[in-house]
Amino acid sequence: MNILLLLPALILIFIVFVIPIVRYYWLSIHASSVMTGLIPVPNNGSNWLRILSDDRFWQDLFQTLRFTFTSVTIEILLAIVIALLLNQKFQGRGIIRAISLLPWALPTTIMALGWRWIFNTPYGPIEQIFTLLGIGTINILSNPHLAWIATVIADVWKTTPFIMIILLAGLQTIPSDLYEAFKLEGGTEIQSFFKITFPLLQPYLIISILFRIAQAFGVFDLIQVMTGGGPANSTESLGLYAYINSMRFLDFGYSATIIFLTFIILIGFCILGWLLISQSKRFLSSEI
Amino acid sequence: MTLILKGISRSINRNWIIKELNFEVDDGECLAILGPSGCGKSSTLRVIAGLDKPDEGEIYINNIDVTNVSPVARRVGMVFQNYALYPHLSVASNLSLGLKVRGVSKVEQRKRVSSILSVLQLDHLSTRLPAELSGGQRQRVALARALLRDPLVYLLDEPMSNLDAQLREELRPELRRLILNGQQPVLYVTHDQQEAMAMADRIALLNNGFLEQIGTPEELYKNPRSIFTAKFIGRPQINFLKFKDGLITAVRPENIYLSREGYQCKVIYKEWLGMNQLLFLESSLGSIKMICKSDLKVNEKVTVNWDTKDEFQFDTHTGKRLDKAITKSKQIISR
Amino acid sequence: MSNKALKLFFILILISFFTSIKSRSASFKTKRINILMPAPFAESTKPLVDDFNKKEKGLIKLRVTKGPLETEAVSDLAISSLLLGKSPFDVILIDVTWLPKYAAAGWLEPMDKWINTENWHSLANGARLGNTYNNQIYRWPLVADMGLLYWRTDLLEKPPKTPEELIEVSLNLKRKGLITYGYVWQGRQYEGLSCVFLEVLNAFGGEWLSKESKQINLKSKESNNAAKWLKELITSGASPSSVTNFSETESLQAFETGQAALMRNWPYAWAELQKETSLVKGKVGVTTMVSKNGISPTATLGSWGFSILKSSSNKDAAYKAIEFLTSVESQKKLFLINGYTPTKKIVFKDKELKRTAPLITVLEKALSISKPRPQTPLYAQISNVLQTQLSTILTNQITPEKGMALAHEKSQKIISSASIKR
Repeated sequence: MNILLLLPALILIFIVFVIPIVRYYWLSIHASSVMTGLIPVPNNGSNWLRILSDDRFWQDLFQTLRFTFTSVTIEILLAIVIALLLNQKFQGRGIIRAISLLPWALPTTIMALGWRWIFNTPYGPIEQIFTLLGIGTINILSNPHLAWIATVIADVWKTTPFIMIILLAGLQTIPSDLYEAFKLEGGTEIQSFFKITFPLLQPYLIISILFRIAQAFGVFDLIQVMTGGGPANSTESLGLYAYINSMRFLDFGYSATIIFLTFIILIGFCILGWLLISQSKRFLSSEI
Repeated sequence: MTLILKGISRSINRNWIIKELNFEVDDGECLAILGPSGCGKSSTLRVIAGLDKPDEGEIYINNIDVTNVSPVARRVGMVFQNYALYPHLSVASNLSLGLKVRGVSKVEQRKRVSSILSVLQLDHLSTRLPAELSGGQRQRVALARALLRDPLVYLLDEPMSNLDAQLREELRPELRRLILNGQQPVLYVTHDQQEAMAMADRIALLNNGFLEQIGTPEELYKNPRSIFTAKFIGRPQINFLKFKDGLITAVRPENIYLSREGYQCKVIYKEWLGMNQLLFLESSLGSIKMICKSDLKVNEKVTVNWDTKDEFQFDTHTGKRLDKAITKSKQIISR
Repeated sequence: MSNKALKLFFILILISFFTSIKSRSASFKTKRINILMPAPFAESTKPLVDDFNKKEKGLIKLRVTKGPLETEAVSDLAISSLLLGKSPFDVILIDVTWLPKYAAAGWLEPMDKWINTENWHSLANGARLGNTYNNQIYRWPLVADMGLLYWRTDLLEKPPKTPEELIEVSLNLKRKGLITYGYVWQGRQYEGLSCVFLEVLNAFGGEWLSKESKQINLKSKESNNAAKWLKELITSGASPSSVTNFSETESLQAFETGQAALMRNWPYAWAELQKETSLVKGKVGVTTMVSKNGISPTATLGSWGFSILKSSSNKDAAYKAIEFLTSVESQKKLFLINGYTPTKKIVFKDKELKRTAPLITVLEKALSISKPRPQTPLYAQISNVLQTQLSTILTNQITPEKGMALAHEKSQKIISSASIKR
């Protein structure tokens, strides 16, 4: 009887989640490209053999991980600070809160275009500032060592408000008498952050970290618009590589292989992240 | 050990929350701060704890002016209305966190926590989280935390308001044993006059931020100085009767008796209280409540009366007592 | 309801019934053709489309869907619609490099049945390239495009002919302080970089993919020299370092504002440089790309042409529309108004055009020496590999030899593994 009630949800999950994943797996063990006239032909796992030795895939994986790790870390730290500030009582708090959400509301392609212009050489403001300071042009978007940092900056700008709003909601669930009780017992502001705020924010941190890892791992539009994956493929993400394989190269079998492997790796990282956070929680509470 | 408030006032957005509060709480004395919600009870407690700053006045703990002293240094043991237990920490960790931040050694922490746990019979719950405890157990943990603070003053903010009536009855003796019988002054905030009368040595009745009357429960009951006090103290509520303009006569339901001579009344309805019953009567003076042992029927005609010594006379406009000079000996006030 | 009203009601129903039959039969006669074009082409061909619709008097109704501005975005749109099975388009204006891929995917209709030998030979030599796949015609060219070398007639007596000369004159002019940049080109990691490289590779006598499309030839002395020369442009100062992020737009901007003496660009730049806003108007010459002594120069072919989709239900009408849009008259108009390079021999011989627009002679010559990029369905892959390695070389991440060797290995792997699949 209970199963019957769950059925609509299960069917929905099946349609939007299970079927595509199974289909990707099925495609990944087939050759389906222009060379086969787009007709899937079983190819004995040669897509999988190819991906294992495809250094572009592994380089993109490294780049995607580097992008994800850096931007999510910075975003979380910034979001905590901003959420703590916006949780204080001050004049015009409502307006400031609304304004701080704007980057999140902006379409990614539009804001990515904006950032491409900001980092443009020689007309963008960043280069202008560097020139004014006498440092000279740094050509950030055509420097394979720096371009990915520009994409991280854009991503941080866009998604910090998302985490911030989750954490702000979390902060508001913490009763103020906990802080007062702790203050009366001799706790300082910093101690109250680490002993009360941080542990009680943890469910919200876990949610936002998992959300953001999944999101950043699949980053596509930001990179496509800002750098197109260049220079020298230094900013290419796995999402972009999968897109190029399907839409540019019409190699759907290999593109599906990239997507399926990325999916497995992402699940792995989500489990790892979740384990790390729950361990740290146990560690924190046992330490007290 | 004493607690003294001198002319304490606090305002928020130019509205006075508490105004000109003066009182003293002696060693081992329990003063209940009583009043309807919004009268400034909790604000008074927060000012004493140092969580809020007063606009005017001074606070002395053990004759030391602590008005500008940090909350920690005031060494108060506070029990919050919602207990304010740390939800992510076990009972034992809840109790030891304060000790830890105050730099007590680990060995000492363990020793003190386990001894307080056994005093409160919480030993078997030490590893539980607050969410896994019953209301009464949480309350005891909150008391334990206040005790561990080894405070100069206890501040209890509606400590039993979240418990059901039966549990309250059960916890009263424990509260007395642990806190009220100690050497420290205790401030006990409540909106429940019966609880205040049962627990406190004296009651400070607050009305709109002002101290309406302070005294022993008996004094407030027997000698209310205003309509407000007469109304607030004593259940069932006192009867207000109008004999002539500008004057209100008040008589407590328990002082009214059936008599041959007196006022003609009709029983409108009744509430059975077990030991006796509460009658609602209609008379030419208005409605009258009385406590009566004999079983009367609805619509029965009765004649009631009371002794003049049990009457209070109040001014209709000022609400102040008129009939006799209020005896205000120092003895009564301080104890 | 009264009797009269009832009658009126029936009459109304009958009228609406017949009118609907009539309009349906009318739409049955009208053949609707929908062409997807990149935005600039949709705009420039609009008068021609209007003429065609007027001429056909409702028998064929031609509609143009204005696609995005960027080439790759148009490709994404086209491919998405084709993958759905039944595309809303009958004809797509496609880039020369897409043809083998689209044909191999089975999306295009062979056009041999409409195009006879005489028709075929009406095309100029270079314009015949890049329209066939497996010996079948799949595309009919609208406009030819090829790489040209623009030079400043006020700074130079004659344009450089060899790679060495090009660097020398650039550095000379820079030393004299006459210009800030010497030579500007397309160095960003994108298709334009492949086009640039192909011209340079040919100039040094090299080859990208062998004729039979089996063998990659990037691990050669010639391709190493070509890559080295591109890098030398930057290291010597003949080209600015920011050229590694230049596309056509940035190159034109630098040349138009008088900052550069030489530019590699497509014919469209000519019209831009003749505008009043151009600071170099009247001081620009056009020629073909430099090449080593003894090797004839080449121009990378980049042309746009119409392909009929297999899924179209009005293929004959579609060809009729294509025929009109690519007619001699249309090509003349497109050349005069938009500067589009014609694809038919006879247009280049037109005396009136030769008199009013001397550029046509240069275009004719450039078209005659133009070379298409490797014609394989895997072109996008191998071009992507090449762009990546070139970008890596130009941004100093790797030596030209190593970069070219890597490009060679990776491209060869793509080609070989695909032929095994076949």
